[in-house]
Amino acid sequence: MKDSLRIFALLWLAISLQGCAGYSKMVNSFAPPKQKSAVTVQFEETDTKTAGASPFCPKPEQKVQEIYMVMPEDGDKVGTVDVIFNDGKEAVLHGDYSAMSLAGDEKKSFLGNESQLKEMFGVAVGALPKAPKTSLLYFLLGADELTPESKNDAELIFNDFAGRDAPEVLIVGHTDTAGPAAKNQTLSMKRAERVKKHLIERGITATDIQVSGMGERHLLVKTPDNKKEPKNRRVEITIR
Amino acid sequence: MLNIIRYSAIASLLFAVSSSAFADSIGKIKKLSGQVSIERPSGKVTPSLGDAVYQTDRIVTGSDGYIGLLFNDDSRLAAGSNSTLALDKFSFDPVTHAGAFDVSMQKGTLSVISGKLTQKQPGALKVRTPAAILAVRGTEFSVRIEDPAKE
Repeated sequence: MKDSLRIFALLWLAISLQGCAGYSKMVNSFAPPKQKSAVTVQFEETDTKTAGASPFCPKPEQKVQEIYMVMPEDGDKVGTVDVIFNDGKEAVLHGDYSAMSLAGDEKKSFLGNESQLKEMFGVAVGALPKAPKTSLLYFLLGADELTPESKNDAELIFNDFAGRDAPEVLIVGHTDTAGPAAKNQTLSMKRAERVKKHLIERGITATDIQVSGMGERHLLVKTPDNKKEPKNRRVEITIR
Repeated sequence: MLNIIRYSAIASLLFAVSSSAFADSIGKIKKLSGQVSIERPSGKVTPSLGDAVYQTDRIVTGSDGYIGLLFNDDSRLAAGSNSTLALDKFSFDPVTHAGAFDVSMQKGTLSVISGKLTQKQPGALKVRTPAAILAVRGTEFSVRIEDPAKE
């Protein structure tokens, strides 16, 4: 007990000697080690005034004017935003929920969470459109007929389309290098048109669909001329 | 026969006009609700879902409004209520993915998911706020700017 009192006294002394900036640094050093990507904010130019607030050194409350927050990423991606303030100071937000607020000239970094993100930015986050999606459908040799596997995949594409607002479809037909290039140009267009027809039969408006044919010019698998290659006999469908 | 030639000339002219208009479009409105207006040099318009947006468009949302945009490089931006967002600059080469995207935000909330531009070059998407410039290296973040006029 006596020992802990002594430690407290030392701590107090340390705070008194170092002033508020020292307190902030200490508080920061007490923070639990952060997991994985949550390195949060690093100031390239250290600004001790903004590092944290001490209960011993109250500052006049400044109204928060701006808040920035990195949103959680899918998979192992890590979000990074460089912040360059008008006064020349720079900061880096790095990792999920890494955040910063600005009040007057006071810049404060913090680690947000899901509920804060929702509370502060909920409507905007909810209004983000779905990511565009590109799928490949494959065709039988020399024909505009889908392979049986691709007929199943086509179903999934149609369902994805139905779940979007103001959807657009881009269909690009391709062929392998078997046969003359001019014939393949026509065939690639026919394949794209065939998929378009499927989509229209399912109630998608023709004006929402753009088709084009690339012939044998954009090979998925590089081959010499006059080579049958099932992976090159395809249509790329992008739904956005 | 002459008529056919005339019609095809008109059709190709129409196609040229519509495709040049398409080239100017930098993105489309994919989410829209409440009071939203877009200010353009030609005047103020009330947009509909699916409409195109253009460089220098200034988007203003009201107290019940929001808008979600999908751009040509697959970047996605959404503004919440009481927001003012300007699409200052957008250039994107669909083949090389090179270009730049600058937006500025005066007030409100903005959520951003960067696309092919920042994949190609980190920092190619920039958001200017009253106090700072945010250069997006990748990929998802939000900004909130309080309205100075509001108490």
